[in-house]
Amino acid sequence: MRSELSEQQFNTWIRPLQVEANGEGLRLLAPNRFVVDQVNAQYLARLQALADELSGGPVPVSAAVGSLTERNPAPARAAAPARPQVTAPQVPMPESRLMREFTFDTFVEGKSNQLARAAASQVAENPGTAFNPLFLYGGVGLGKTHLMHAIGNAVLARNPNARVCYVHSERFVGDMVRGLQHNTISEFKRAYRSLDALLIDDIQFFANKDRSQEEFFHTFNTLLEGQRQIILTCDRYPKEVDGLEERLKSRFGWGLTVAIQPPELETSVAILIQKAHAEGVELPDEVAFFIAQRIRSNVRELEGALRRVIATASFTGRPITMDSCKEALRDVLALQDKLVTIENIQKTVAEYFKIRVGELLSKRRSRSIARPRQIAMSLAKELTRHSLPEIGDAFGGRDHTTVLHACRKIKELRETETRVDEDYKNLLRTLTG
Amino acid sequence: MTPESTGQLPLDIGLDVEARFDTYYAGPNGAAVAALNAPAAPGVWLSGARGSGRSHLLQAAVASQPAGHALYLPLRMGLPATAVDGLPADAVICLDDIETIAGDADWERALLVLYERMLEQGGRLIISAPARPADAGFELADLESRLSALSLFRLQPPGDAGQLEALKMRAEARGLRLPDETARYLALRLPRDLAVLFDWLQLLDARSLAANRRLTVPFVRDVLRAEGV
Repeated sequence: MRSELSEQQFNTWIRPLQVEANGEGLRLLAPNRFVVDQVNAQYLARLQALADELSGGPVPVSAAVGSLTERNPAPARAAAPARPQVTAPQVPMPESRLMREFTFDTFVEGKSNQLARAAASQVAENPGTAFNPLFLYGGVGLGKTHLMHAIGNAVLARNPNARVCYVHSERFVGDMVRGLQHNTISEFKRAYRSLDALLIDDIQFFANKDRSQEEFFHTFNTLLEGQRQIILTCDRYPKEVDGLEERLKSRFGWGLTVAIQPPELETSVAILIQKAHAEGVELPDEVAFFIAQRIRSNVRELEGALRRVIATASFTGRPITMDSCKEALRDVLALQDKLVTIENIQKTVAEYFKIRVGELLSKRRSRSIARPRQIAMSLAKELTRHSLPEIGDAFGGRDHTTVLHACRKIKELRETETRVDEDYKNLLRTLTG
Repeated sequence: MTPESTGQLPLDIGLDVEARFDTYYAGPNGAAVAALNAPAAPGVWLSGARGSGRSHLLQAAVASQPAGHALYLPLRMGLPATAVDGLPADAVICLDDIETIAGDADWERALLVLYERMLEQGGRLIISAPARPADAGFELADLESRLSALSLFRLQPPGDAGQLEALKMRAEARGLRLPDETARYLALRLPRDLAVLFDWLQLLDARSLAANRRLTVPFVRDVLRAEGV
């Protein structure tokens, strides 16, 4: 089958399939409905023929959504441990979905987040009583989700029987829609309304979803009346979320609303050092400062940059230094590849040497023109993907051997004449930004 | 002959080389290949110009995983956002050319949900785009921010010597013998773009098979001339 399809078709539709043999034939387990539909429409007949051929007789082949691991499920990474159900034995214990690594210990405190951190600690110690709901808001990647998980983990640490559930608002909506589709909405309601602490991330995604807002409104009221803790995060102050019902906005303000600001430099440095430490990596202070100074927007981007630096050091087997960090960060900080054209090179070189583009393209062979022309050809070879004949054509219809000669000449001159090397580097910098 | 006319040729003459790590010329991109071979959570973002081998590497990452534990989705195919619904969140999921769905609200939300689920269940997301997340054109700041936590690698062009090596490696993987002088001849006359060079190699493979000729410089010169180069 593999030899009959392109790599892309094979990797997209066939490779994700798992095969299960049952008494009636072969079942191909696909990751989702979309893949099943594609397999049924495009490949099932051929797969059927192959199965018949290989087994020497007819073997029914069918495709369905599923996975072999589902039949032997591994415990979910952050699933709540099995424990006796005390608070509401009639409802199964929900999956907490908490990230174990997001705790108060791993949260780096600074001026930008200390108020939120203090409020979160209070809530973790007295869930359902102090600050209910706790509403954390701020830009993306500043630690709202981390604090939320930290509260959940602390609540569970104090009371392993507590029913705590973290859910992203998009998932809440998705679960509800599935509940409606599969006629299980009452289970959905019971599951959410039986919690001791409900943690909903990014509630701005409820905007304009009236049915979800209504369901959430009732869940919210039930939990609040039962003195169960609600923690919400959002990218902005509740009143500023467009498309959210007024009654919800007003309830969000009943507890405590706290902002998280972007981390100041020192906090960013501390975050980097702590994350590197957690990975078992020694990050020199100067490197941490270097990264923190250049990436100021949010913590996730800091993490991405750090991962890249660590990956490079791990690949080369060398310790992290300023040099290795700069090399790795060139990727992270680099802007989109600039489109450098031969025309642009000619214009820039002509301006730099104060000559006209027409002269660059002319037959004139005086050094004041020929040298810039050679530099421009050399830059065109380095910065564009045009073939040498194409570059020759663009410089007044010259042969590709002339271009080759120019490139060799400039390479040689850059090694012997500082001035030529400086000119070349200056132009390279100008052209690549 | 214009650069456009030496662009990728619309050929359909059999299979191309299997996309695996060992058929990719790593050159200056060894760290990226290593990171894809054993992707750390939450995953890897691979940027680079057209022809830098992003699709090859993503498919190699899928091929290196056991069956059923990895999936490759070429987003330029125009798949609907439902294509990622319910994908196994503990798997390796490779999304090629993510910029093609940037700005599509349904897709961006679907990816946000997928990312959250993968973070929870320990999956790895491998994404390719011409640029970094901040320049991919996402509308949803929450998605852009999450994807900026991936390890970013920007594929570097192989350079002249590397290009020759890559061309020879590709020929070898196709079972072709490409003499040094022929490789140099091609590199001097064709656009210095690996994707284009590989397309020409595919064409030369077919022509040499049809003519029962080896890839000598005179034979290659004739083919190039016949194609207008």
